[in-house]
Amino acid sequence: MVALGCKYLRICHLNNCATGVATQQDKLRKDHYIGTVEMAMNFFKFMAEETREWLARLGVRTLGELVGRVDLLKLLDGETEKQQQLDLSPIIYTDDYLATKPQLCSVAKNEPFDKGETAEAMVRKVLPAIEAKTGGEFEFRITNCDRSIGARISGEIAKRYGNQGMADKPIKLKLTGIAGQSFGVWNAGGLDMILEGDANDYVGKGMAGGKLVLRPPRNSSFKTNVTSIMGNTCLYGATGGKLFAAGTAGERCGVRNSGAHVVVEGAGDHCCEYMTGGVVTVLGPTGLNFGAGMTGGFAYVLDEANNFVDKYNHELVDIHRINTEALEAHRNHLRGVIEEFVRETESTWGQYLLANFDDMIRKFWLVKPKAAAISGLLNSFRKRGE
Amino acid sequence: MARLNNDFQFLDVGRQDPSKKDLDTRKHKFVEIYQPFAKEEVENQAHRCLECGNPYCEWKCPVHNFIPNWLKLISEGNIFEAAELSHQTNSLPEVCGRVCPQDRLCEGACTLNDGFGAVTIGNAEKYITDTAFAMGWKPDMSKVVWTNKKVAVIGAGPAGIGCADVLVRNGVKPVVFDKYPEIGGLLTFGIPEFKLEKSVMSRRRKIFEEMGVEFRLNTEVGKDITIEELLRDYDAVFMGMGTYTYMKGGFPGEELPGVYDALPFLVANVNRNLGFEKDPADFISVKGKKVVVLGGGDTAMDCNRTSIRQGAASVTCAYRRDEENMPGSKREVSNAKEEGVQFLYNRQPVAIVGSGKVEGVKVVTTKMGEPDAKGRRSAVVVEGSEEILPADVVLIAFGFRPSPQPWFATNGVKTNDWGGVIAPEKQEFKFQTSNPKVFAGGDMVRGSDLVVTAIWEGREAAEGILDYLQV
Repeated sequence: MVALGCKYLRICHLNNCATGVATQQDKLRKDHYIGTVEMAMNFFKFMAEETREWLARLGVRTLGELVGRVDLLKLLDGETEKQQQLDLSPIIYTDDYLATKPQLCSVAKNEPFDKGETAEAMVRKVLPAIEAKTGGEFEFRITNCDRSIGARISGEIAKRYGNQGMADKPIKLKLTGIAGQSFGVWNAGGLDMILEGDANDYVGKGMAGGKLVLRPPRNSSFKTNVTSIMGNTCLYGATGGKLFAAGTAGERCGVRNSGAHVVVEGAGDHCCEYMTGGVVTVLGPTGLNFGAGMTGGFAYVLDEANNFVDKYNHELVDIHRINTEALEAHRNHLRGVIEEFVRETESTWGQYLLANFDDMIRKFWLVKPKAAAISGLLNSFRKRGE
Repeated sequence: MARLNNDFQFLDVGRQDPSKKDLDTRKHKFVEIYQPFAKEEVENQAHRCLECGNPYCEWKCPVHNFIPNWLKLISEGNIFEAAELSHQTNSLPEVCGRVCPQDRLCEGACTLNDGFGAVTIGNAEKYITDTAFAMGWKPDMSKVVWTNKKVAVIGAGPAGIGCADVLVRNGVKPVVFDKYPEIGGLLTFGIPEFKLEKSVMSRRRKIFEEMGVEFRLNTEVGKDITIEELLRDYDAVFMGMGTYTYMKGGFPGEELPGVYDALPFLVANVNRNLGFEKDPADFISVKGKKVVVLGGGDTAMDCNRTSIRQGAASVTCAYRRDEENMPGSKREVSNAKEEGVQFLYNRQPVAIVGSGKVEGVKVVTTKMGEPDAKGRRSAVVVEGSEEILPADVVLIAFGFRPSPQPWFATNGVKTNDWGGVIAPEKQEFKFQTSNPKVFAGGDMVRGSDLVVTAIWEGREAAEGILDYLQV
């Protein structure tokens, strides 16, 4: 961070970093951040170079050769009286017996159970449509043994056309079954996945674009707004794209999200944790500690029980009603968000909310960082385009 | 009302210096040019401080003032606490707030100086002590346990005052001797009133006297009292006698009538203003004259601006390097420009010309050469660039060297090859000279330097003395 302009101000927790390193404040980031990719590159280059010089001075070729070489360490006399009382000799102790033992991990590598065969089969089928950049619709069945579904296809897209390169000609996958962990991880613009079934943890982790839709099987009878449809930590570190889930999410939904839009029908604890951008819409109750460390983006929360004020973390965010005159733009925006959600998922709960929008709107909260002005919220995410 | 706890104050509120008095007043009167801060202004400005975990201002400051801490105290309106804290590290904070080159020290190092405008540290520092004094605050001496030791301090300038301040707060009685009729040394007699009004020093004298410091003014050691008496009657002696030998240019014509050294000119001006003048013939008037000032440091700026106020026909400052490489405070240079001083850069004087009196200064144009090992670039002469600047008065401000006294040698006080007293900081008793009972600090040890470094050395030497006296 120092290589990128950090001056060690130790105010990272206040969002007002004057070097633009540890802040979401647009002006500070735009006008006062001096870091470039090359600075970080040079730093690591020099660090590696210096490491090599030290290795050469010690007469070894690799870091691996240094493991366990306590004979190369020498104890210094402490500078202060307190330091001089430290006995560090056990740390560098060795003897003939210990010397016979391996110094490196010698257990065989733990190979993953999932060989990624489904994912590879999917790539084989879809690849011509990517290479021709035509897009197209495909159907697959998946099980909870299939992890990181979609990642391979996103990789093929991004490798050829960049993160958003096929957004106008998307590959559309209609999936049925249960997705294993990390469904839609690093999803690229140009891959839309509609899953009938449910998903495990990490849905849309690091997602950059495209669309993920999760909806219950067609003839299921349970109520979506009280039923889990995906696990914990969804959208971890996502930078863009959309996720619509007709059901509730687990804990930490939207953690570190910096640009993705998500609609769910309920969420667990720590929703929007450390969020820096994007929009999270929760059409039902949330858990505790909502918005902890949240410094960017915003959220809509439906609070029928009228207890959200006790659930959100008051340190960095504040909440506002949106049934007021001043927030008409947000009211219209929220209606548009729910309409899109219903189009994608056919959620009964979503339809109910739209039908009773004028009644339900007064039970919604707008959650935003204290440092952000309400008037700039809608503009800021439209501009970012991440 | 200032919005406290605004993490973005440094963005919401810009740096704002206190306003200056009107130019007409500045060109004629010997009064400080800055208006004092109003309470709300200073609170708003102090609250801009980011409180960096690693305060660059504090490290850059030669006395390591607790700057972010007292900025926070005044932004919350706690004047007395701020004054108490400010005095823990500095004996003359209201003076440093006025005369320090903050743009090269604390404010230059301020994180916000990089694109936001540094916090107005100097003016806030001045505000704290001025306001606290006006509200009746005095340094708290109630916890001082008096010893039976006493120390003679020679020189009531910043080094001597710094030393006396620390001694008296540790229960050692300081008696300060000075040849001038008021305390302050160059603060009173060298620095003109437009930077530091003399009421500041007389107020200080009362404060120090109430704290238990005794001043014996109009008393020159070696003339009115001998060093032998001091060594006999006191437990230790501190010397903070400054540097008073003027550096010469070493070119022809320096002896012509109309050529003056900076200090006699400035001192005579202060003496007349304060009524200390002994003989009207000492006064050097430049009224209606064409003045050329040679030099580019803060003393040169003082000569420039004093000449303007005396009513000189024109004031031209010739400096041998470019503006970028001037050693003084940029703030003082811009103040001088505003008041009407003409600057000529890259002009090196080679002779002062005239028959029987000064008629002009012969200069050559120089350009900057390659940087030396220290990164400072020296000047080289441009061929055929000689010109003569017309002048009735030439003021030379090339700096000062120590003035070793004959009684140094007889009392075993050693000096180095340029006349500085040898009294290193890093030894068992800080700033002890080769005579164990004699300590020294400030310009006479390190050569001409800032007020604040002299205060630092005086204070550190006091600690050396306390160790030596086993207090």
